[in-house]
Amino acid sequence: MNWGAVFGAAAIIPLLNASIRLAVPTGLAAVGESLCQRAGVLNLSLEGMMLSGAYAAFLATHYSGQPWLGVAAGVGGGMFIGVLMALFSVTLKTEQVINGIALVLLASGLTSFLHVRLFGVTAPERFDPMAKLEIPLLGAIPGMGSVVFDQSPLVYLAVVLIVGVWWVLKHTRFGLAVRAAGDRPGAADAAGINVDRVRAAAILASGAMAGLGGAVLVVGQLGLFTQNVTAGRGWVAIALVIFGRWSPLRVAAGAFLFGFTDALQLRIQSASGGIESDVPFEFFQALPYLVTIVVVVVATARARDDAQPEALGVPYIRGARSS
Amino acid sequence: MDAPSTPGQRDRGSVAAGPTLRWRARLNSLGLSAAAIAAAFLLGGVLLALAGANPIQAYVDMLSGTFGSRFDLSLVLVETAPLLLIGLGLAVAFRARVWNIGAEGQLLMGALGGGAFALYAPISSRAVMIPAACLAGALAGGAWGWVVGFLRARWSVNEVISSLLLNYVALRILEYTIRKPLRDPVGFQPVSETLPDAARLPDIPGLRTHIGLLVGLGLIPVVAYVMRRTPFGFHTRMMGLNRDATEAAGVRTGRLITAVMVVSGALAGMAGILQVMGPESRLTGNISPGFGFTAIIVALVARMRPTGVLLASVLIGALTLGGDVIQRTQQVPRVLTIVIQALFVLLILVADKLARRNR
Amino acid sequence: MTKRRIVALLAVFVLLASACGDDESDSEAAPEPTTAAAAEEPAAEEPAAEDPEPEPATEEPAAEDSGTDEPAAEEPVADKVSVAILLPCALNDLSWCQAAYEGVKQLESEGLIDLQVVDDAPFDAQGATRVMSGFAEEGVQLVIGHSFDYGAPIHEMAPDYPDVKFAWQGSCGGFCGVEGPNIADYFMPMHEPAYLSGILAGGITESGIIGANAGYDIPVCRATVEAFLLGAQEVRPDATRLDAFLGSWVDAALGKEATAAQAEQGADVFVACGNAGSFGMIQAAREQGLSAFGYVYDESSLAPDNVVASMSWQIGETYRQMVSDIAADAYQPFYDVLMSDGGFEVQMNPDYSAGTVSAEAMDLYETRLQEVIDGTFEVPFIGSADG
Repeated sequence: MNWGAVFGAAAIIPLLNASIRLAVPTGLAAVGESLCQRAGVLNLSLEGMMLSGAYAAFLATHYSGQPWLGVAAGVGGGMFIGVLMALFSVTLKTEQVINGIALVLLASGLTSFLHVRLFGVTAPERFDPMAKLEIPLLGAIPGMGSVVFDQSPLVYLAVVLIVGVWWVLKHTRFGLAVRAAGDRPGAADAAGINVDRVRAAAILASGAMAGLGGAVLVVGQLGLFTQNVTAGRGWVAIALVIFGRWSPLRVAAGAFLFGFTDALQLRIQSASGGIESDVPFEFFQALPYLVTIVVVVVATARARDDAQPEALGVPYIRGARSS
Repeated sequence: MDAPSTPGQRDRGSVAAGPTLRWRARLNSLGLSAAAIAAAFLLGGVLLALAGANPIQAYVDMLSGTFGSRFDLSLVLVETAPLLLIGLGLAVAFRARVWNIGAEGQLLMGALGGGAFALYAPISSRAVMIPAACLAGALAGGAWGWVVGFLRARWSVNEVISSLLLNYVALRILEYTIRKPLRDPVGFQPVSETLPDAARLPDIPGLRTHIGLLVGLGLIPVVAYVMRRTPFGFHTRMMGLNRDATEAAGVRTGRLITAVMVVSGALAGMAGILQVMGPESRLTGNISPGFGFTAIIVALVARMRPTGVLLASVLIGALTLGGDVIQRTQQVPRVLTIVIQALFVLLILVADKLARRNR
Repeated sequence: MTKRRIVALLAVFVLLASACGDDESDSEAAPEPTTAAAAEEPAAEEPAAEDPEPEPATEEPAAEDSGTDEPAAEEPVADKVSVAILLPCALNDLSWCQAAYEGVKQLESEGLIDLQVVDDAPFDAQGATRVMSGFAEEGVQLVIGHSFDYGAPIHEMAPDYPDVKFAWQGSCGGFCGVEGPNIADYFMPMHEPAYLSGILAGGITESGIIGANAGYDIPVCRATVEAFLLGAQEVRPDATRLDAFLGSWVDAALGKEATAAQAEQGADVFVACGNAGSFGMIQAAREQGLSAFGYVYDESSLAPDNVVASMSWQIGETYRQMVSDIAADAYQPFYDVLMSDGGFEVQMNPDYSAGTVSAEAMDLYETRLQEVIDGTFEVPFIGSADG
């Protein structure tokens, strides 16, 4: 096999770029989910939020021709599932895990239904994905310049949002309320925090980011919608939250690692003889998942504290013992 | 993460005072609960109408097409069989608050392990082959579950992440095996040979449902007994309520978690091999349309009660078949029936919640 | 107590179900499904008749006609064959399922068949059996499963319905152990257009490296990429190919990255086997100004500058033969409608501009195309490692 084609100096920059492209949709969803889980809500509807966002982004861009409107609609599409998730999980306090899975089914069915309903057999005109935005001067730095400063504007937006979630969680009053709602909802309530409201807000934020993740796929990368275009990224994102031990920056790093391994395995497959490769390609396909598990094992084996929010998955009912 | 395992505690808050008041409150919540069910039908009806169907006729078709004849009922029960088995295993795990999201992978590994056994073992007697293959499937599924339990017990690796990610790994292993070592040697497509006749499940007399359903039915009292009457069951429930206290009481929770994962993995694995010996007839890459995830809904809707698991899996089976029926009679796209199923699950949950609110 | 609640709740549902079921059970259990359907159906069908298919926005006039004909068609008309088709994806996927959908729709609009379509049909054997047995019980004459996944369930259920004909897309030609007097396998001869497309690719490529992605390593995909390379090597004997398997039929973004990776490794012309993979590939080619070929359906609209041609499956021709054989009571076990019978086409994209097909390659393409259509040139079908 031609290793130079995968790891050679000329191949590294494109590899990192591809890693970023593969990481951003999942990473956005995962970081939003980490906020949501820190507030105590185990939101399994993430895949549905992404898909709903992807479809809303597609529709808006298709009808308006404005990709940024598509991005906004993607955020809204994710929040639409978020509203339902909040309604069931926070207001009605039904089982979060079921709500989440059912909403994934709902989003998958609804987007597929609408797509056939609205367009029939006439393919909607595809549009151009958002162009890259090279930051003047910096993007021209040889080597890493293009990785860091010559990306789709959505990538910069993602970075800002990811750091933003981290900052909000760590340094703001709202972040404190979120952590309190997830760890000690009873105490938070006693301290005058409206636990339900905080949790609903966290779910909506998670919906917004997951929807944006879906929008990145459609508006930022493909220029079209295909059925179940998110292809399971939302589920991976949930795993990444635990991978990152509920810390937004570590979660984002996990998303990058996953994207990197995926980008790598595609290159190894191509360079290693494909069909006739001695190593079965199924092994390469499984690589991102295996690497993630191994890193989690190593990381948790070394960590001594349990980072999981105490009240994760527990509906908060005033006056009831919650854990 | 808590689960509905502690309803008594959580619902204690709002016990009404006098008997009359309590009855009124109860009627009230039953009314709300009925309203939630009605809302499910109504919302579903709106969607059906949007799809150009006649909602009332669609519901009638749905009901008559699922329970209207012995044949239809057989099909419902075929859907029930895997959900019941997996759901029972997940009920045990969730009772212990061990969040096994990996039943799908455990099912695939069970199908692979049991299927490989059935393909290679020179057994010509059905009475030997079927139980033996079931055992092989249960072992393989249990082993896949054990990995999760071991990682949890040994290095505190969160079971949600490991079980979820292992689903993908299991699928790739299955795909590789049927593409290379287990591929039908004279065949063409990446699927195994058809299983030998000895490893094909007969139907339950009088129905067109394979006997795999009976395994699940038979296990309902077993699981109920184990959970209620044995130390394992007692410790499991105790751990679900309070892990630290269980540990303090001298129970080795690490071992218990592993055991719980093995049990739920084994049941999912058995469901897998039963699918292969039953409706699938051979190993393929599409053995499960997501039974392992649907069964999560089943176990939780049933509030981890074994009989509840049966009813919930019958309900899901009926909704699945009902969707096909109205696709046929009312031209309702299948994707829309999935939406309606999801709505029903959500609103039945709400109804259940409301019905229990003032107790 | 809580258990009792939910038990009661579910029991009510089940009781309700069986109670309502009783009213209808007579018609359901009727031994003669066709007459029962004729008697019962019109009432139920009427409201939906305005909207017979789940894609009303683009109802062609032809389909509208058949819609208004519906009441008459409910009577058992001898020369119309009733057909149900299971499509494992969306009927507007611009690819695998749309090709089949438009194929059967064409027959419907010609008045040859009564059609029922299940798109997004399940493709596990249990789900497929569930859906197909519904049609078989109803007495549909031909049940088509448009995927190789439908072979096993059809093999299992076909003996129970000797009067129903089944067809599945296996491309096996008798080597899959799926057989029976009422079962037909139909062939996807994509290796033929792939070979011809490969010739064009050989005339386009500068690097001599072809990029290929496929959902899975199934025989048809392997035959496609192998034939494509052989075709290219007729023009460029030094041509080589890079392969990537996505392990998915739906992940377009991953398909795009696979193509991008191959482009980095020098590939400049691309072929795909799989609907989403082909979308991703075409998008990547579009962004990088490279050339790609459409999969199964005319995909040139996705990138008018970059799609050289599409291998377009005229699958309606296969179904047409089946239907006429059923009418003539001469159902075949295997249908291989090749390019020579109009079963596949290479649809050239007139707007293609990302590269140029060399004159030599174009000439060879024309020659080989004619030979393939005449049946004088046979493209090898390499479905597995040992041919």
